[in-house]
Amino acid sequence: MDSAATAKDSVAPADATTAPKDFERSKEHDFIGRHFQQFYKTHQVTVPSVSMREFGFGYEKKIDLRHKAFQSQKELQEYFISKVPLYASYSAAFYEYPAARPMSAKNFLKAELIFDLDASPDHEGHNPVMCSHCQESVRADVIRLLEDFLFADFGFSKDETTVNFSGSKGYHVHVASESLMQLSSTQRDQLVEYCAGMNVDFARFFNSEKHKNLPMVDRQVEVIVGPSTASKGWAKRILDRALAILVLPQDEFIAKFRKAGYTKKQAEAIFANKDYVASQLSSGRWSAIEKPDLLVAEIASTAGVGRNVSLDRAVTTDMSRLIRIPNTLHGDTGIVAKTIPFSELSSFDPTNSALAFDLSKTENVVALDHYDFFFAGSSHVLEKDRIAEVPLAVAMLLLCKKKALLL
Amino acid sequence: MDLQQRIAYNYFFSRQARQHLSAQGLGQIANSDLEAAQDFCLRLIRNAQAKVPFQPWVAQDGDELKWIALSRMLLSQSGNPFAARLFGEGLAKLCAYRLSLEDLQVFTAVLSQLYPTLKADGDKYCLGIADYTSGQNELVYAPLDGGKISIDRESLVEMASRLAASRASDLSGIDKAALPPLITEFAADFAAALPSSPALMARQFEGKFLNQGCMKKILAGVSEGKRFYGSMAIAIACQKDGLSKEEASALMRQYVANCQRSSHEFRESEALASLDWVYKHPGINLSCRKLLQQGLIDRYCDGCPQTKRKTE
Ligand SMILES: [Zn+2]
Repeated sequence: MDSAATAKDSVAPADATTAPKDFERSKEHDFIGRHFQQFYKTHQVTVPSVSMREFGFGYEKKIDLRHKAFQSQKELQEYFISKVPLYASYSAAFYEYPAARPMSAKNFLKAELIFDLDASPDHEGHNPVMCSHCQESVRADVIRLLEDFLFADFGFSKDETTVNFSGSKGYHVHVASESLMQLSSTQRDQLVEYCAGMNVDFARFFNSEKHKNLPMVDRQVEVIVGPSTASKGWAKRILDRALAILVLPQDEFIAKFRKAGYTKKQAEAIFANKDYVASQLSSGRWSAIEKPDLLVAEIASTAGVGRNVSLDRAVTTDMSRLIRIPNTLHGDTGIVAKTIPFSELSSFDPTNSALAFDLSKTENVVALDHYDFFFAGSSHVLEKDRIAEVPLAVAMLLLCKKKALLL
Repeated sequence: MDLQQRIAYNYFFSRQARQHLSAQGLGQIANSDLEAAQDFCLRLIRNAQAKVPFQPWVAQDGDELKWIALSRMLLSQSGNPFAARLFGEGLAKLCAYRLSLEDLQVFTAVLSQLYPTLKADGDKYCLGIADYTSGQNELVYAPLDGGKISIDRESLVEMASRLAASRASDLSGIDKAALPPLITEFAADFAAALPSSPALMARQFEGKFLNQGCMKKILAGVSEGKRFYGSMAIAIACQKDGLSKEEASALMRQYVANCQRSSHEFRESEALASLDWVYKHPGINLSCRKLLQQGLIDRYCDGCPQTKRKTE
């Protein structure tokens, strides 16, 4: 067992009136609770505008009770220490009366703008304990969301934008700019639709102009005019992507065009002319390439955010949603929902940078199945029904995921 | 007439107009005021419907502001969202005409009240995201860069007149119970003088669903909070009646136009998304009970084949 210092503190159950009555108080639950409690005794949870937010907490589910409110930071911290929730969420919305119900009685004032990205664990070779593929693919999309869309196109300031790891596989991007906090749900939907690039009629960026009486040509010629270097927004994105494809090495170039639906012969012909094609496209003359719609469709299928991961539209548009409180623990992992500085995002590894529990202490657990995963730079292999001595952080992960039991 | 007055008299949505109205008040309302308001309202409605360019005018005094306020009260009593929409469109056309006459200074002074982020940018203008998305613009097609969207004067006027139209026809802020009795009395005759949606009323549908009273009622437009369910109901009826997706889309657009404008905009794309969904799930049935629960209808239609089946 863990240190005696934490063992003597019993974890108070949640409000008898609100917590689920049939909650299973197992040895594992007590262990998790004691460690979570110790974490909250030593880590301040800081919530800006705490008294204007609605809070929700979960023990079995992510949110078992909501409509909670706190007058102060201190009151919130005391709640964490005494009730020890496994999941803690708050509203991106600010209310006059955050505890009031129904929702309309809260008197909505404004809301942070939130983007929620999560892994799609349905890929081949997904690791159910800790999947680096999931972690990497979500992180890559978060970076794209920030750099290509929020900072470049939307012009959001870095000072008003924060990135928060969820503590499991996802990320939340919070934008707390006063000018955006009043956006309606429909307006927020437009922003998320823009980033996703879904349901976009890309043909609208192109015009076909019919030219007669061109020198040396006695028939009518159709010229396709599209995005040029003068374009902005999605039009510019289409051109930039096309130009990036045109400078690929030959093998990748041909493969990309083949994937878009061109024949090998067509792809090779474009490759032979690629510099000319690039200069024509840059000035908006898309007739320089055969079947430009194929290339555009290929670009469209990859240029938005949330193609291989999920960009949850409802979190952005539904302002009554509750989302994970930054720097609290995630009950599925025992990992901190950490706020990540932009400079650390590209190299962020939650099993290094968002650990709540010790790697030097160990704990004996019995795995419920065979598991093989990487955590904090080390490989961990556990056999089914065998006792294994693992670092405390790994034990917490397995216990939280209900993939191991204590002795 | 000084500049502030000119803005007040000609742009009902301006700060100057609000100040003028709150300073002057509506005064003692006489029947003659209501008659003048009705004439004004019907003139705008005719102008909105006119295919040829209408004869616009520039306001020389504050009477028009009073007529607008009274028209809106009367329209709120009439329960005719179609007419309210035309009134808004007529007024918006008028504002657009007046804006086209203004010099840069007045133009910017008026439009920056609708769009606080508006900035002149050479011979164009630029708008921030919050302002651009407040209209029915689709952000994905916008030339967006660094949070700014470049827009020419003509498109800006078009956008502003759409916003003006939706503000004028949004009657949700009017407390009907608090209206003076004189207005309530006058409203009955006023309502009779208003046009009803000709495109819908004249149309005979082949199928049995769209011809039901419930669907006609929904098609004529519903209020905020019911618009989405209304679009689902129409989509199902269209699908059951065997309308092509194109025919159904046209009808859906008409429905969106007929719906009440309010602070929470109901976009054509939202209604068309309902249609898309229903056409992809052809097994969905129309539930009269849901229509009733959602307040889209207040009773079951006589002779409805659906309810007969239900009660058996
Ligand atoms: Zn995975």
